[in-house]
Amino acid sequence: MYESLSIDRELTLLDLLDRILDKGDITLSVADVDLVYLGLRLRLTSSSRQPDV
Amino acid sequence: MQTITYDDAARAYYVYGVVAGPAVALPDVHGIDQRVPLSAIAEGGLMALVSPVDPADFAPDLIEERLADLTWLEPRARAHQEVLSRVAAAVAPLRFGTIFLDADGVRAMLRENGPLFRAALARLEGRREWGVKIVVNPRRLTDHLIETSPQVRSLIVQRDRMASGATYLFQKKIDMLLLDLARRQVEACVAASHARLSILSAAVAGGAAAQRQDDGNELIFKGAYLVAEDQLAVFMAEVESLDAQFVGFSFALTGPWPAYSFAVAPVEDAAYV
Repeated sequence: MYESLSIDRELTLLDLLDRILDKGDITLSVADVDLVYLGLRLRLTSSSRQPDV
Repeated sequence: MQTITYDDAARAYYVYGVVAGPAVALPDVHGIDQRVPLSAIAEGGLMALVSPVDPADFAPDLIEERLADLTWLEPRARAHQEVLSRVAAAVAPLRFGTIFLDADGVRAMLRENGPLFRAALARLEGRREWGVKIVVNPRRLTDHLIETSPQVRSLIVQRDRMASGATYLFQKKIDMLLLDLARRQVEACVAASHARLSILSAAVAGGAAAQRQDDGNELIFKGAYLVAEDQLAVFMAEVESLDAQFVGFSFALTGPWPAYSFAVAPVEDAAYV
């Protein structure tokens, strides 16, 4: 058999960012900073109190 | 260890997620700011997992640059994950970067989204999120199709009987057929896998993907499944069974994750924007 099932308990950074920054059908790559930024910006600007810095 | 204090003006609250509190024990873990431990803000039978952060760290005019900097992003992303994965109870995770300027803001968020959080937590109780990725190795799949498709084998036999100068166009025909068979097999693998894993899950997210990897293989599917703890062994066995059945495809299971793909997104739905 060519394949073997792997269970990854060590989370790759890409998998992690994919989940915590933006869920759904957008696939992030680490270089996709626009998408990464969008995920966070949506949260910051739609929160009632944006940090006033 | 350095001791820091935030005065009220400089303190904001980073919110990791929400649990059905206040009886849930907090794990002994540091926050996004590694110098401060995780704490909690309770309201109306819910508890937000929080830690103070300096709002300047997430300043809007700097955040784009910081998110592009993995040396900034990675420890914070991992801290976010660590907090959520260490909580022993069901937790509704919030997206990375959810920040309120004061504790009242956190309480208001809990109040106004109480029904959403309670519904989500009831759904997540006793269940965990697992990720399944399917990768196809095009060469192995093609080899397998050549071995198993009578149509392809018949064409190959015909080709081998031809004079060498005449085989070029005929080979094109075989290649086109192989491509078409491979595409169908990818579709069949994704459809069968998603259907069989969905039956064993309380909720599903994600789906077909198309992403060429550096090694020449292609990611064709990325799914998230909310699996009850007492179904987990069956779910894992089903992934193994699919992996054995579909030659040329590799299945990878990741998890358990905090239920990132099945949590609520309270802020978008709330009226206090």
